[in-house]
Amino acid sequence: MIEVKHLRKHYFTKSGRVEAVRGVDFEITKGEIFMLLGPSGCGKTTTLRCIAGLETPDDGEIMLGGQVVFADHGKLMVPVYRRGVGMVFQSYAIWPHLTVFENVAYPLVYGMFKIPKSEVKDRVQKALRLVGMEDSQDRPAPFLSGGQQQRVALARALAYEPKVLLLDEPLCNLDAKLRAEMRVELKALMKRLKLTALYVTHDQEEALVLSDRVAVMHEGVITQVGSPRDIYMRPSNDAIASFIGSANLLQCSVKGGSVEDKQDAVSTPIGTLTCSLPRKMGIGQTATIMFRPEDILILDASCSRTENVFHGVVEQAVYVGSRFQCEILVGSCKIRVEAPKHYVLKTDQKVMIEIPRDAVYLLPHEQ
Amino acid sequence: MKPRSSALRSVTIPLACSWFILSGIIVLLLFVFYMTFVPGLPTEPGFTLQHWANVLSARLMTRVIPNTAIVGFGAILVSASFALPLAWLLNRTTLPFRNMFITMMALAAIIPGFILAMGWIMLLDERIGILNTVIAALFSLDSVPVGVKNNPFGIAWVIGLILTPPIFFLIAGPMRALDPALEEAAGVAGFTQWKTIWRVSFPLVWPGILGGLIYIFMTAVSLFEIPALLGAASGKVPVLATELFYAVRPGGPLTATFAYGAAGVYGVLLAIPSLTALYLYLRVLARAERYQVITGKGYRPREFSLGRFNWLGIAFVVAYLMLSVGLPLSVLVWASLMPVLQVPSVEAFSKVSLGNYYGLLETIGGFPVIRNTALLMTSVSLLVCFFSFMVSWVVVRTQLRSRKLIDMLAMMPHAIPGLAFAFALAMIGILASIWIPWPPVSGTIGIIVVAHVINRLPYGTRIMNSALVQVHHELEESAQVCGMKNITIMRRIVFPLVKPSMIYVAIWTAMLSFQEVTMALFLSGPHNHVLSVGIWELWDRDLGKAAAWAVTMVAVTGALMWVVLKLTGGRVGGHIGTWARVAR
Repeated sequence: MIEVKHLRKHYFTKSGRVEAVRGVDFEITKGEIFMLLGPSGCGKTTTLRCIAGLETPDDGEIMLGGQVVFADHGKLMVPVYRRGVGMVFQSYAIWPHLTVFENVAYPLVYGMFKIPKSEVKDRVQKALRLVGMEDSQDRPAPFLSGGQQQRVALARALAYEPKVLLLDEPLCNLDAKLRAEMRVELKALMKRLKLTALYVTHDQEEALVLSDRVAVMHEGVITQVGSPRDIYMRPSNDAIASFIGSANLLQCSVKGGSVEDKQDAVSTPIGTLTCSLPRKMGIGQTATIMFRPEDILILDASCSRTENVFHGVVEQAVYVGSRFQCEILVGSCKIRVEAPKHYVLKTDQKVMIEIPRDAVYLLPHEQ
Repeated sequence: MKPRSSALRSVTIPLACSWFILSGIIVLLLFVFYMTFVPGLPTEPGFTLQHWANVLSARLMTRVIPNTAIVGFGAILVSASFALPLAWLLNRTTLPFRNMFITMMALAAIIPGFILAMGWIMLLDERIGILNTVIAALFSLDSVPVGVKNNPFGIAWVIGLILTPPIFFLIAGPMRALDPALEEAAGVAGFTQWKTIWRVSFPLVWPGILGGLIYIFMTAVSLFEIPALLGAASGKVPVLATELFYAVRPGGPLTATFAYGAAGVYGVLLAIPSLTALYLYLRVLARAERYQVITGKGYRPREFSLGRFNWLGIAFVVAYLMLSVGLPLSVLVWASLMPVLQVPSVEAFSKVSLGNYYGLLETIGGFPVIRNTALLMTSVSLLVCFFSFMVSWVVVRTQLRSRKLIDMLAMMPHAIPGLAFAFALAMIGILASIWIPWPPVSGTIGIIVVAHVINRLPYGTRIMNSALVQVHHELEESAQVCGMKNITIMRRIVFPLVKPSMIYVAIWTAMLSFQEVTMALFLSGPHNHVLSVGIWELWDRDLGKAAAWAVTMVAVTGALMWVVLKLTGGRVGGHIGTWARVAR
């Protein structure tokens, strides 16, 4: 439904020329929720605005539902109001001089997607019912809470049945609890309506929960595309690994068969680790390994396992309710560990940890 | 930083309109400067530096410039010593009747200055002043103790009183917005209440105060009507503004000849301190922004309880209101009911009649004057709204590199006295009548309208800028995404959102045009008299009739003000504050 090729866009700020988007390609299929994830200033919002038509790209090609809306450096450019996309803005952009009903009805009455006057009421009510706002349709917009504004913005974007839905950090102005609720609700709604959506966020949790596919953006380029599971389990570099979730990263070099004659051993600052290596790795090659804090096991003193077991000292243990977040000093390295809440860990306590072989992931070496 | 939208790409029309009005400003300013090198009229050949050499003349150096300085600094002293305590009392204490007093301050801000000056003359004139006569009678003196007339300090006193409401509202903003946590922190750290005010609150509000003082100076030195009433017309206390006026419109006893070049020089001399002050003012404002005292959070300022001294606070506020409005207005009402001005007595009361109010319309020039006034008010407010919207649109809503320059140019008429623009327009009028006799320029109501529009543009653009900034750009973008065209967005989204500000601008400019006298008088001819000019001219002929008109005018202004209050829902502090700041 959406196809973006070689998109480029720069703009000027006080500090000079900024290359906001530097050659972005992706394709979103029908009914897919596609997420652009990245830190602020990485060009994700600019990309979204180019697709909506609010910005004119320098170069590249954009197709919406099989129709070219931008090509040839702007010689072919469909104006915003003809593109027929739905968009939810970061600030919600609820028109403050109108009521809830009028906000949703305005595009149907004054926009390019006019429908007969007699149908407007039905259509608006249908859209408001989708987001659970049918009871407050006569309320003036300024009297809405953040969550309600967000719902109205969504209803307005859906009322004229757009080809695709664009969402620009729609949940970032909500408080944490409401955000978690809206996330699940939004996903259910989008799936039920089989919407094609492009969603921009800097919140990695949002990306993992909501999307079918995630594109991680960094400094104007997409660094990895994949399913949320892919991105979390097999990040393509250390920046992505530490941006998405929390990760332990260690430099290592491949070591020949010292552990039970297996090739799959690497030497790291905390000692020798056993893991599955890709076949092409040769002895002596350096790389980075990653393992997640929640995969690490804390062992009893009586445990007799030895593979990937290390001794360490608890440097910090923070109780966060559902679990303990600890930093354990192994050798000279701090290892982040998440321990189940029934372990009572104290500072300076000596512990044994196991890093299971399957939990260790070797990052592909960057050229 | 997120890239800002180029939401409405069609900037051509707003840009063209902006440059149309701004180029007018530039041309007029250059023309003033050019006039200082021309011997007589610009139609006559020649180049001279004589006008500039005359600056060193004894009259200018020993009388005009010192008088102007006394008026400027004296006005600062008077208005600061009233406005600072007033701003604190009415914004940061628990003084009773505060809201009523603030509304009365707003009313004081809109009463035409020259009317109050007339009231003060009736109170303190050497010969006829009621207060003086009373005091002289009480102490059986032959000569009068104090005179407000023919005395630069008297002028400073009256101007200071009149400019107190604007500076009051100017300081009230930062004073209210001061984060109470800053003061609470001082309290926790062991500061007493008074020490907190002196060591924490005052330094934080200082940039706002300084900005206000500079503004007072700029306004005071460029006022014409009050010095003229209080002594410059007779040539006894000349200031720069009156010198400029009488150089082009001879009428006083000393200046019987036209001196266009000299007028240009006076205009430039007036603009120099104003431009310097404006520059300083903007510097101070920029520094004030660095302080970030105003965080925009919705908190209530901490209020100081005066306790036993409440009565003292009330007495101070009432004293100011009496001096600035009560006394001058009552004396005008009294004078309007008297055939001849005299001290109230049993005998005088028997003479009270509405005689002065009979045939009021004829005394001032009949229906055409009313028509001219209405025409002036409506066309100025419509044009100011239109051009302000266009200029602000370019400044706020586009990415054009020239938008900073456009914003600055639109601010220029604030620093340059209206008199200078009126002078340039009058000269253009004279030239036009020589070169192209057909289209009437000189002596039309149109030329006064142009002068007013230019003069009110800074005020209009300030209000429209802040109104447009508040319309988040995503509100327009979402309309675009929803399939609306630019023209529909303007009509359905942007215009309804800035409409309240538009109405404020319209009504307030109409009100200011109604009471403005300097430019209208300067550009007046036989057929373009407006009400304020009529009253001004009546003052010399018939005191009682002039007083009757002044009372009528205050009543009309009050009625207009009431309409504004209704439209704004009574939020005086907020909007009038902004108005008063840029008004006058």
